[in-house]
Amino acid sequence: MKKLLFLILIFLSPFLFSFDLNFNYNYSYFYFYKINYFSSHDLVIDVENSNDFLKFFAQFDVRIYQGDSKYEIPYPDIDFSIIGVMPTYIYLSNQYKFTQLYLSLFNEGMNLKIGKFPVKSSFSEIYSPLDIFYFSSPFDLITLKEFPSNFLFSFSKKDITLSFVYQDNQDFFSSKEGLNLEYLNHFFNSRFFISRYSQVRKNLLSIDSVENYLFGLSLLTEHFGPALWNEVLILRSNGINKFNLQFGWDYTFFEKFYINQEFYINFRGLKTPYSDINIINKYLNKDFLIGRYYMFLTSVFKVKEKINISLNSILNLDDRSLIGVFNLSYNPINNLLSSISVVKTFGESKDEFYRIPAVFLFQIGTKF
Amino acid sequence: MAKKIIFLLSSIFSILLFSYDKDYILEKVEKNLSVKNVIYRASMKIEDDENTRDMELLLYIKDEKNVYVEVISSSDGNRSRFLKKDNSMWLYLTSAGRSVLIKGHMLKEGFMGSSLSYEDISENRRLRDVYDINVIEDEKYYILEMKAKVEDAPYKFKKSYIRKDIFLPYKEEIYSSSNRLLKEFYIEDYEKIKDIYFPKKVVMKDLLQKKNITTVEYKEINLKDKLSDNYFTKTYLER
Repeated sequence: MKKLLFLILIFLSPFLFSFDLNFNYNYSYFYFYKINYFSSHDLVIDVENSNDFLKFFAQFDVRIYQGDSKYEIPYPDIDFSIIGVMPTYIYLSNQYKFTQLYLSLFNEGMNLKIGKFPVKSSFSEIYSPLDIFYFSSPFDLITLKEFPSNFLFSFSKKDITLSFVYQDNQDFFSSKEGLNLEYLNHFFNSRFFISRYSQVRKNLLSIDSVENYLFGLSLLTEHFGPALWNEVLILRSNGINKFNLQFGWDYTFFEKFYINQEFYINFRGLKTPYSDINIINKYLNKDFLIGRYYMFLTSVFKVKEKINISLNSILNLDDRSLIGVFNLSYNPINNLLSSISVVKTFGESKDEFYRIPAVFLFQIGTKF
Repeated sequence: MAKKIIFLLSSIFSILLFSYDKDYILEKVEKNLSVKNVIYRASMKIEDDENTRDMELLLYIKDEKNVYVEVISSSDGNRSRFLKKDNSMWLYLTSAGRSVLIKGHMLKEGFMGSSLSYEDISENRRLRDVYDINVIEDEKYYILEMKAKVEDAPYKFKKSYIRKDIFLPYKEEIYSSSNRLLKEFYIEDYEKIKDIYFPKKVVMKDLLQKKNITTVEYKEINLKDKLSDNYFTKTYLER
């Protein structure tokens, strides 16, 4: 599929004669409290050409690292490196890659999109199990975000939109398909989502392939003032139904303070206290959350015209542990943005968000 | 007795005549300001204390419920797309691959940091559907005093100075509910197309800030018989 896409793009490039070019440069300085530090230079180049019928978009990211590239994540009582489930070090090698690259064709209410691009199905700002096609943790400040290859067909007729997504990860066990039906009316936006995806589940002794079916229903309304939404989701995995429920609201107070609060319940989540095996499996399978009850918070405070403070957090309501990212951004002049971010956990040794060293990130960048 | 009857009749006629004038004036103004099935290509200049930003806009307006706005280029590299469907406005986030609802309370915020709000950019309802309007006349202008009569009116109170020759506002004053002057809006140039006077150059001044001036110049105005529904869909927004 990737080769086919590449050939199509090569074929079409001569016809795409006038491009919009955007450059974004960022210098980032990472500091892991009392452990180490490193820095990176990021140059992101966006190329776009579009008209009513055709759009080509490419985003190329060059990231050059400098400094010490080792970072050890300590977990109480477990040496992850011995069991080989988690790297002791994060090896930082320079990266040059297309993070987005796609071609989009639009005609008569239909859209065909092929390539690397983001697909998001949920309303959630932080996390939702509906986002099977791509998910990126808001607390991961280090990893370069690269979107997977998708095929998307979408069709709209007035207030109804039907879309189909296929994702082939070149791995027989991890292809994904999803069908999304969306309806807009005066009072609410509703979405019905059905998908199938395979997943490789690991534990310390074996690897297993799991077939998942997902049924989701979402509703969003702003009819009552603040926006309100909920998502009901059933995940059928190996013949077992797992219910998930999410509801949230958001509002901007006095045009200065934005708050977005969500509650997430995974009725089949693990009960506390979590065992070491639970934590190991979480990292083995890259599960984002393992517990039952959570509160997500996203807030932004506009201090002045060019100064913003934001806080994103997840509170595990079972063990009361928390992970949060605090950000202060300042835009001193046009096209120049600086920010300081801190990721910190608050929890005891066996909690989901156990204590790890705080990560500080200072960024300064420009775009034009 | 005859004098009294004449006086009474003339009073009734003058009231009828005035109410006819008012509707006539508003009809004319609305014809110029609430145009349907039109595509604009415009440039926007945002000036504040320290910076000047430029952007190119594409606007598709089918009616008061279907508006599509695209920022096709900007000096700071930001591009975005907006879709107004009924009372809801959606913003497409290219980097996230999804569209988010711009909630009612956020519609009053500056569009891309300008002194025009999201509502200013996308509002296309008839004035009489949104405001209770009182018309006063002086030598130069018809002055429309507009008080919001619906919950989702962009402003609580505004005053519009309408030019008598073309029925386009020369100036609008926008007030808070406590009668404080918030913004001033000027139409500096216009163009006549098929009996409609289109604003060609508009300026919005945010008086709450030291210097915040937004100038929009409509470079191309393309009046259509009908605009396809396909432009006003989630698929087109997220294409």
